[in-house]
Amino acid sequence: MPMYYFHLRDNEKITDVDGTDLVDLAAARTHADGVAQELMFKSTGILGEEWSKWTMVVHDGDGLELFSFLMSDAKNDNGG
Amino acid sequence: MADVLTQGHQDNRLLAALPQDAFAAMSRELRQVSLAQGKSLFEPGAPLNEIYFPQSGMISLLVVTSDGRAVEISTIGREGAVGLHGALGERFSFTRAVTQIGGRFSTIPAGRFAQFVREHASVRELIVRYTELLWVEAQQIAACNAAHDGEARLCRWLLQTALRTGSDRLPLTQELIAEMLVVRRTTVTLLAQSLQRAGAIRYSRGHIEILDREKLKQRACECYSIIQHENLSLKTGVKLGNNAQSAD
Repeated sequence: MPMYYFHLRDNEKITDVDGTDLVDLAAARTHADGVAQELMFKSTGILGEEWSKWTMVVHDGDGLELFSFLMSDAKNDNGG
Repeated sequence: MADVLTQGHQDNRLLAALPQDAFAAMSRELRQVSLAQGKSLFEPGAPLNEIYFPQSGMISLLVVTSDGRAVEISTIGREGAVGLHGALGERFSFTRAVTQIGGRFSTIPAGRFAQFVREHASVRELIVRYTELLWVEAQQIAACNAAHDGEARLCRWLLQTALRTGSDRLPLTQELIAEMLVVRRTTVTLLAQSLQRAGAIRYSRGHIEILDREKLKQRACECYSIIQHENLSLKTGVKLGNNAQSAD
């Protein structure tokens, strides 16, 4: 299975150093939405800024950016 | 050698809290074992036929769901014990008990421990009060899992684990932490990176070291202070022994 890396970017960058094995790009999108929801859940953010203002940037194993989205735009489990 | 073993048993604060006569009698029956990380002590439905008193490791109590997920409802370190109800008669485990952090443990067969419970009212009282303490903790963690964000829960869990084991160096993988907090491993990776950048922790594969306890406390939810057994012990009347050095 291909590896996907889920980084966070604002004025600073938080790197997903480990990556995750996922079956395809659709699974990576679902995973990214889930991580965003888990981070934003009633959270104000560790670095003093709300996570919702951060951007999630997803790379493949070669470092190629596949997609990105503002965390506040993450889809929840109900597709909303 | 006997003194060394006695000291080892009394590294467990519950055993250290026993009256001297009760502990002296019980210490002849206690065994000291080393258990590796990930060792299953009880599965749901299994008889509680052995009692484990952590000296240096930590045990998690997990509720196992029908889809195979395991949700942590309590952790037990050197301040407590697992399987105590086995001394009150034939009892079965409702949870999975697993060594989350390996270490040294004192153990005694439940049947032998039952004898001490019958003979020493103080031991029986300690079980009742400690059980109450665990119940309060389980309620608090259930609320925490539902109400608090991953960052706050991760900070609470790291502080709690350090307290239980008496060490700021925790042999924990991110997979394991993610399972305990019921979040994706990626979420733990990103939160750990953030905490490392903030100078609160240092982590490498399979190891986390707490560098700044205060920074973690600032980010932890209120549940950490509530479930510190030292605080709960005052409310439930459990008097923990002080032989072990506090990590807090």
